[in-house]
Amino acid sequence: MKKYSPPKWALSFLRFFYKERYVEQIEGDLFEIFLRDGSTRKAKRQFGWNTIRFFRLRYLKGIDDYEQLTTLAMIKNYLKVAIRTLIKQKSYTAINISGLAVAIASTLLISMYILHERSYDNFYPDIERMYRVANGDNGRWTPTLLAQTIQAEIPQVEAATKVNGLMESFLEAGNQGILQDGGLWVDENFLSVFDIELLKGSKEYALSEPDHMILTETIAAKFFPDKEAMNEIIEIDGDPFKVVGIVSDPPKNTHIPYKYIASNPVDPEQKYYWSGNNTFTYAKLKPTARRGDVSIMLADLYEKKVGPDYIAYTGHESFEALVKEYPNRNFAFTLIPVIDIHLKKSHFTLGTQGDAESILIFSLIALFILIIACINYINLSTARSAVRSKEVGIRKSLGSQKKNIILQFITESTLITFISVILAGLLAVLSIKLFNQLTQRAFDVVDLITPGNILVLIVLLVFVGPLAGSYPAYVMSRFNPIDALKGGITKSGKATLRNILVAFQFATSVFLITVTLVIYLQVEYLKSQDIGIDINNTLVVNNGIQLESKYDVLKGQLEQIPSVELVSKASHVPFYGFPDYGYKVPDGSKSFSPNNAFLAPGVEKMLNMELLDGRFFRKDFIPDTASIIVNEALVKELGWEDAVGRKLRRDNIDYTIIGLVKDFNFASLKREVEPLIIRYGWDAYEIGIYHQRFILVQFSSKNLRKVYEEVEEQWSQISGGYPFEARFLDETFQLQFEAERRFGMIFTTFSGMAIFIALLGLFALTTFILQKRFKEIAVRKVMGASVPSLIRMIIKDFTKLVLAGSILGIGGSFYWLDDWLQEYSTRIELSWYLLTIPIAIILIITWIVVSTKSYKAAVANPSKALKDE
Amino acid sequence: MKGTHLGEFEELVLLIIGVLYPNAYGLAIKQEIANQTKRSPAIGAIHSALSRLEEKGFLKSHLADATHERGGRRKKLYEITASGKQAIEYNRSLRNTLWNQIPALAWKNL
Repeated sequence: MKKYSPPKWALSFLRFFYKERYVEQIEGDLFEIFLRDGSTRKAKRQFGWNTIRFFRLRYLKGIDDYEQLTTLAMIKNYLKVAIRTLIKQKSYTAINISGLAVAIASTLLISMYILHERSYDNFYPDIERMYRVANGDNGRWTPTLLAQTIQAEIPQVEAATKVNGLMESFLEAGNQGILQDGGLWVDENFLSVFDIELLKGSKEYALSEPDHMILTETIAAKFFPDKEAMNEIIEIDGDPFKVVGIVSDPPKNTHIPYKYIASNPVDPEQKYYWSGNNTFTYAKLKPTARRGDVSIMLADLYEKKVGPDYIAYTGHESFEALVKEYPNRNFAFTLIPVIDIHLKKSHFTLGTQGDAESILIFSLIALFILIIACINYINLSTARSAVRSKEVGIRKSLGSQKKNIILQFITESTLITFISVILAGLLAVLSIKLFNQLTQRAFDVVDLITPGNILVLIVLLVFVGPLAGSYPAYVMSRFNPIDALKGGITKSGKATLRNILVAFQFATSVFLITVTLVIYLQVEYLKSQDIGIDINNTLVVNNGIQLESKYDVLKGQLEQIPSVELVSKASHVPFYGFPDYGYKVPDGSKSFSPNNAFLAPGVEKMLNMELLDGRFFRKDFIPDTASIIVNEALVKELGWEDAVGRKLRRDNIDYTIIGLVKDFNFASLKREVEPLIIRYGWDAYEIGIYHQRFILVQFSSKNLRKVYEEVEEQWSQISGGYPFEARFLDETFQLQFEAERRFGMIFTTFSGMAIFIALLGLFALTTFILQKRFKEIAVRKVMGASVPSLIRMIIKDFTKLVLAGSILGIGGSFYWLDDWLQEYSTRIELSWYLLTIPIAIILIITWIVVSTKSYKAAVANPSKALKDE
Repeated sequence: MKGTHLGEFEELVLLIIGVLYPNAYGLAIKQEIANQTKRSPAIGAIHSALSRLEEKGFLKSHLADATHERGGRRKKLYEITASGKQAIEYNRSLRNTLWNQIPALAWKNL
């Protein structure tokens, strides 16, 4: 009869579930029964059955059986050894932790930024049916009557509102008066379109009268720190408004960051033109409405309402003729979803613009930095593995199993991740101010705590730490203890992959350095351009209108100051933005919209404009109110040979061209000089009040602060308390490069980080290669190689890597920069010397790192390396 | 006093251990119970009774040498302790006292 043996599963079952101190007795008895029953098949079944019948609470292992001795003690031991190893290898630990910490910190900041940018306006409950009404495809400004007309005539529109702002005004309450930004001017539908609830006051009543206003909590506390703001009177630029409501501050992620809301209804007394675009329009559709239907009705409305006014102004026979002449223009009102405004249609925003492209760049950078840091970590650890192969050998011969060694290394990497995460948190908190400057946002430390970031941290701690440690752990745990003890193990991982990764890091560094450099050079080049006028030594004072007739007094006073040379005024000043006015050639052959500015006599001298033909305006010369001066670009646009003596018509008045000035830049160096008409700025404020929006003061002193203070002093004496606001003209000129400056700053920061992390990678690779070639170097040295020749040998390999990476990086950056430079009408050429600078920088850094590391190996005593065998 | 209470099965096991002295271990106890009482308790029940009794301090144990028929496992041999003896003696005297108190008349009609 066949002899059976007890079922294996039953024995494992016993050992797995039952307390160790019972197992022997239970097994013994079961074996005896089994033998007594004759080791038959039935006995075997019985054995299994009996095993299960022992399944009683008393015998089962409890928590204390699992946390027994071995496991707990081993974890303690892993940690202790990990801490000791980290302390022992100080530079390695520091490099690893700092690389990871920088990467994690930038990930935290960037993920916070992306989350914030994508959350704009998502807090409105009805956001999916809220739209901005655009003029054409991209026009921000719409006719004043549009909001009330669509609400009345398009049934699918639940409510529509007209909005202006955000504006800076002089707010006065009691004896406190300040220049306050964030003023929003709206009609009575605003609160219902945007679902804004009042903390105090009645929503229906709040904006029902033209002299009502609503304050945010912050502004209410600012103006009325110790009393109730409701029903108080605030004067906005001199007009009294009554506070009828308080709202909470809008969330940070709104595209309308208002600070107060003032009533600005359509005035039934006034005549509005459909061809004049003066306001923004928002509409909320009914839940059942379809966007497509509403779009068609908006297009019809445009033809019906705007069409007649528009052709009256352009002189076309019919609306169709107008549409035909400009096939690329969309003559219609269109709907822009409010949720798209911040990122996709950012020029519609009333706050700071978002940028979908920068989100993409940021995400890629974050991802790149994180991946590179992890790869570096693996590179560094495997590089260390040769050094630690003896440790592994000893552990193995003393009875360590593969599992123990893997756990040891994973504990180390988790510990490193853990410390890095803490450091990264600190780093992120410390750098939040710098980050705000880069991104022009106002993040607080608490904003760092987002669900996304918590997830990132958990993923990092739970996965990245163990994962980054698992590859080196796996490699090292496989060491044959005998080889390991002999010191023979030096190979670990494929060198090609490592080389590619390091070359890739160089490519990125070169890319970022090149981009940073070119942005810098382009901005410097733009600044050095001859703009055609003299913008130095001129102070521009805002709010000249507030002075009314007292301008003459101020002018007289200012001219008394010895360093002041000239005082004049203007409706618009170069680099503050010029409006465009429509003009026609009198025979009706052409209508166009050049830039338009009213300059009082004297401004031309102050800015040193160059006259090519004719003359400038004469002071107090009334006939000159019908004279204009034009620039070369205008003459070119109209295709004229000469300009002086010709006429242009606007509002049925013919203006005679009396002068032609050389082109000068007044808007932005990014664009070509546009056509410009200079009109006569009235001295008498009664007629030309808007011609004195800016007061220009030319001075000869080098002491800018003194000039500023002297002008301010005169202003305060004369203006009757209106705040002084002024800026030097060249400073304003510099401000147009703000976007480039920030862009450059972002790239500088990230190139710094990328280079830092690339250096870590370089360090790891050098260490690794030197270890691999330790014996080779020793043998070479014994055979007579000199230290410099050994260093050269090592450097040669890296130079190849750097060059390969650089070519890739330069290629990529030129491709991208070429595109970027197209935005500028005057731009630098991408030339060969730009190729050499980033490569030289990277090459020199590489050589320094590699030669210091290899110097150590080259001067080491060769017998040390060779005695191992 | 809960800790020293002896259940019926426990008392039986304790007595059998005395009977088998010095060779009382799990399976032998099971067999002896089967022989003497015609009951066939599960081996698991014996083991849990043994460990309960040991926890109460009525039994002490030591390990004997490994034998082949036990697949190389050692036997755990049990002996009754002084307090174990006290416990069965208490049960026995309680029973005797109660016996003696039953009036003869009670049996008369049986």
